[in-house]
This record gives sequence, C-alpha cells and structure tokens, in this order.
Amino acid sequence: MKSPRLTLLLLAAGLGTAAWAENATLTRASDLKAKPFTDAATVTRLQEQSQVTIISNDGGWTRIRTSSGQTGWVRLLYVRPNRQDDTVVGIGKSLGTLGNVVRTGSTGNTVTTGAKGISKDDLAHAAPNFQEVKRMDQYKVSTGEAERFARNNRLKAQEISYLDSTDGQRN
Amino acid sequence: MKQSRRFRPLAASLALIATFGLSGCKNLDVNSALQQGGNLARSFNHTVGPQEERRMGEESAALLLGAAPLVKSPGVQRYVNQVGQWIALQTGRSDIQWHFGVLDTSNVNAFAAPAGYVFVTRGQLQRLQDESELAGIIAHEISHVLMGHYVQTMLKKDRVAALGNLANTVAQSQGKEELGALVNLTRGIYSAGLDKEDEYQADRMGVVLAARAGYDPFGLPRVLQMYAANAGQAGFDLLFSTHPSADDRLDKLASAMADKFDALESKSIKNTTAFSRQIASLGPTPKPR
Repeated sequence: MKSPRLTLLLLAAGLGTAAWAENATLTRASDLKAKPFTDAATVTRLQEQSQVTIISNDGGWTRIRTSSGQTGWVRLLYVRPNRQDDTVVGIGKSLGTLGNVVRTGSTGNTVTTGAKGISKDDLAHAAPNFQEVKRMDQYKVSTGEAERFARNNRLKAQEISYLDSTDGQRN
Repeated sequence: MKQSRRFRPLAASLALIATFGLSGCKNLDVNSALQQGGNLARSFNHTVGPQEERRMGEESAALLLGAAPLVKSPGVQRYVNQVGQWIALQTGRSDIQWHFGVLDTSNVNAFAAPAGYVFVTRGQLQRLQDESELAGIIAHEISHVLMGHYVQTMLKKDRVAALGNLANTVAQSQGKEELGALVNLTRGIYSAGLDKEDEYQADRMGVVLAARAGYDPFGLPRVLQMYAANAGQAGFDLLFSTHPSADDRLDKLASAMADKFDALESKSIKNTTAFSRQIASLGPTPKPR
C-alpha cells in the first residue's frame, strides 16, 4: 500500500485526473450530418463500430471527427467513449500505471487523504448525522418559488408519457 | 462486512429476535410475496406507511450526511432545491416532502433516500456542463423515490425479517433518534447499490421527468457519456460499483428513447445563468482524492 503522501503527490502533479476520453466508437451505422439537425446535409455515411474523435456535444448531438478527417454531427445516443486505457498509447500507458497506484492492491478502494467522502469505507464508518438532516429544511423551496424559478428561466412544463408501461406504477 | 461492529446492543438483539423468531417462515412466504408484486411488509401484516417511510428516509439521509455533510453554501443548496422542486412538480405526487442537498465530497455520485430525499455530490456538480444535465441526474433520483426502489430493496434484503419487525419498531420508536439495525441495513444498500433494473427504470423515467420540466431530455445521456469516458477513474469508484456500466445504461436508453425526443430539442432549455453562477462558486473541477 502506497502512502497517502505519494497519492497526494501524484494528484498534485495532475496524474490520474479524470479527463474526457476523446476517442469513441459508433454503436450503429450513422449519417454524418453537416449540422446538428436531422434534415441537415449528409456529409458521409459511417459504419457501425467506426472509430471517431469527440469534439463537443450539443443537446442530443455529438460533433465528431472521423478517422479520415471529416467533421460533422451524429446522434449522441450512438457515440460511446472508449475507455482511456483502451486507446491511449505512449504517455497514456504510463498514466494508466500511475493511476493504479492511487488504488490499494487488496481492496481496490481509493486511498483516502483524510477528507470526508462517500466510499464504501466512508459508509461503513459514518455515524448518522441527524442535525444535518434537519438543516436541509431551511433550504426547502415552495411550489410557488419553484414555479417562479421556472418562469424566470423560460422552463415550460410539457406533457410527455413514460417510456415503459411499468414506469411510474409503484406497487 | 464491517457492519456488525456498528450494531447497537438494542438493535442487535432486535435483529436476532426477529431473525430467529421468523426464520421458520422466511423462505416460505417472502419470495412468493415479492413475485406477486406485493409488498413484503404487507404480507407480514406490517404496512410501510408514510410515517415509516419518512423514518427510513431520515435514517438513510442521516447516514449519507454522516459520511459527507452538506456543502456550506446556502446559495448552492437553495439552487438545487429550486431545480429539484420544479422537476418534482412534474411527478403528480404532491404528497411527498422533497428535500434536495449537495454533499461536500469530490467523489462523483448521486443518491436518493425514501420519502423524498435526493443528494448530489459536489464532485458531480463540478463535472456538469449545464442545468439539463443536473436535471437529468435529479430526475433519475426522484424516480427512485417515486418507485420506492430503496424501500423495496430494504424489504428484499437478507435481514428482511428484521425489517418486518422494524416496521413495528419504527412506529413505536418516536423520539428515539437512531435505529441501529435500520442504519446498518442502509449502509449495506448504499454500498451494494440497487437492482440493475431499478437503475434502468430510473434512467427512463428521469429522461421523461426532465423533459416534462422543459429541460433538454439529452442531459442525462450526456452525463452517462461522461461516466463512460471516466470508467475506472478514481472518484467514480462507488458510482461504478453500484450501477450497471454507463455503456449498458446508454444502450438501454438509446432503445427506449429512439427518436421520441428529437422534436423536443429546439424548444427545450439546456442551461440557465443560475447554473453557471452556482457551479462557478464551487471552484474548479476537483482532482480525485
């Protein structure tokens, strides 16, 4: 088990930091669109399992670059980021190795640095804090305030059905 | 499991009495009752009524807050309650007293507890791009409460007989703050997570509830995409060990959503200035601890 100090050092160096994995795989054949609209021009047709690079997201669309360098938009639901250690080479490899140092060998739990957190260990040792539960009351928002918040932010309620017949039906 | 160490003598004896006292009929009725969709407590002639559920919720919330207290920012807490309460208004359940809270930990996660408690961690908030992503997470947790997933899971657990007794104990225990056996049951559930199907259901319902509230319905899928990109990273440990993989969740959502929400995109809200202001007040995205 590595010392917390080593962990802190690694973290301070920015190693093991979660970063956006830019490499991704298409889970179904998709039209690459010039703009994030269904009726936008199609740049090209991409095969299922195409390897792409994520540039950004906009609503239900993801802007990508193909392996041949074309850019455009595909539906977000069919873009799956690759795990970083699956795709990153060179420095990525060493990053992955260092990343493992942050975990203890026996339990796989993250080494803690003394800060409170919510890991399995934290839950096992936590003493219930009822004062803090009571404190939540003071932040409670009334129906009127919630509606005012929605109006101020142009949020309009929509009528939309649940997606499955079992949804919303509690026994 | 380290739970046994934390057992209070009273709770331990209660659990023992309950386990031995009811062990004879444990296998007999429990499974069939659950299969029939019935509530276990009812099958033992115990009802988990609103009062018991509220007690379960308070104990669960107290445990989570014992692990990580509230972020000391009234502005952030109030803001998350505004978003949460507005989404809760779309559920048709005006009988639930909703409480939303931001837990002060850099770990990325969100939790629900019976009777209307919903928590998001600071680390989760700091990794969000816009309010529709927050709405998706809150709506997912609200769905766990609506469907009684935590209550049902408590009833399904091995110490089911103990809880059958606890329903009574809870009812008779007003004034006492802590019920050791219930708290320990809760520890186990937050460490092990809910049933996979409960998570998929909360994803489906969460997307719908966020959309009903006027938010971009793709907020939750974008969060799941972010999870997928961070698989195996520190700070996400408990989240990943207690949920189906982000890839599986996205696959399920993709087939459930299909193109049903595409038309909503142009008239839905992605972000507000309140989100940007409150998230900025939390500081930069934390390094995993």
